[in-house]
Amino acid sequence: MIKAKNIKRNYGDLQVLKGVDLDIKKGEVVSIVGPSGAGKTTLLHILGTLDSPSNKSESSLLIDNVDIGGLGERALARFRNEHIGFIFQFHQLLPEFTALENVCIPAYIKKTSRAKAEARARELLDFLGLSKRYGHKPNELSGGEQQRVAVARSLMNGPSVIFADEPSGNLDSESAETLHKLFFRLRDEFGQTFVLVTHNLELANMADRKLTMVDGEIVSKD
Amino acid sequence: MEAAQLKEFLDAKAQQYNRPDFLEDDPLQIPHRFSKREDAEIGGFLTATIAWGNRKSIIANATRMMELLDHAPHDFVLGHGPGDLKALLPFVHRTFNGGDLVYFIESLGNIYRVHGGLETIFTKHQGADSMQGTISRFKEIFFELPHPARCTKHLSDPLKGSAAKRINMFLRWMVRRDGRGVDLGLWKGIAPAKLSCPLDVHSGNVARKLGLLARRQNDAKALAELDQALRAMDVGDPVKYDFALFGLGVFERF
Repeated sequence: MIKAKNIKRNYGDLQVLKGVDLDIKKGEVVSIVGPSGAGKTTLLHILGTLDSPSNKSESSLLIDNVDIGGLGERALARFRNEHIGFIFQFHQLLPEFTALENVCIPAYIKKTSRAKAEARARELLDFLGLSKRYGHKPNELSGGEQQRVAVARSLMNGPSVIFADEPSGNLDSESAETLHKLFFRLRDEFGQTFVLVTHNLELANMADRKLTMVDGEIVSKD
Repeated sequence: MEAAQLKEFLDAKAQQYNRPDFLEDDPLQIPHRFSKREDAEIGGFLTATIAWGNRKSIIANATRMMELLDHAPHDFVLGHGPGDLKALLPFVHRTFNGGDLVYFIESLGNIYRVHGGLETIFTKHQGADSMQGTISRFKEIFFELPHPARCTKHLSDPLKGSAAKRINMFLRWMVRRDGRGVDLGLWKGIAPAKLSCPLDVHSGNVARKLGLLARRQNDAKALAELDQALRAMDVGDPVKYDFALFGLGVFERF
């Protein structure tokens, strides 16, 4: 479902990615680990279509058989909203809106009807153990709960893949463990695909495959 | 306002103000006057540096600055002689004076001669998902030549708590590329997803009224909070909402 070939990214004369090849199948949970500066976040941003390779003509990125390089800005924004979910270290929720409203945002962007969006958001929040938190704003939620709301939001449009950058980096160990288990439940029950960048070795080792990056290259694919 | 309405409202406002006629009263018109990329970069950087206070006076003083640089800022920063710099001394925009301008020209000369230019520095030192550390690194490079202490206040450092409004605005001008004829989009090696909103008292107040921002100060922490909220609405191009926040604050007295 994700096929990346020869992805390179330069920042000036600094080569951050040196020709990365990747093949990720539907329903896989793949972790990317490596020291800071190895290119993990840059790779995640390129796979997530937030950034593009420096060698566009010599590289390719297919997600769900769509050639990402061939999409214009608008088509890309639409594709991103409908096919890709993101979870970041900091939850990126709107502070003055309730958990339910935050989860609905991607559906509103897609112009899903309000009733349908809210019904789906409730389902997701229930699944994530947040059924008593619909009307709470982010600052009324714990860090772990905020991050689960962000997970619900990332699932809203039924994305093909979820990219998560240090999703538990800001959580205590118990909340982190709850979140990690959740990723695998989502995979087991719904076949959800995840690509996770993490420094958390426990999470990395739980994944179906662990890709280790060093200096802009994937050096092992366990 | 509910989240659905808010997103729709801000998208509409961003579209309304992100149009070429916006340039008539905006300092961004200065770099638009140049056809050579380096001229637009340097003209834009110097204009953004003095972009505080009344907008008419910013445009008038930036125009004056471009006259002093013979309307060829790239040639000027590379080829000026000591006598050329003397002519800059009478320049003043509020607390940015001719002495500051002289150092800025010398530093820009160093940047284009030694570091490959503004684009190269920002591209080379860009973060994986943000430009705030990059701005701090840029400041170090910018002040690597001997300089009067007073000059440093004209370039903010996000890692020291500043929202760095002017340099974030300059980056918006150089990086955003939406084909609407407003932002220049000259620097294709940096993704718009990494940009932060130029946060000032106007955009900050509008963001608070809309529920996008809770923190009261307009500092780096507030910027981080606003970044998150804008990314929640458009993760690929969060800073397009600067047009909405700015337009609502300045034109609609929101």
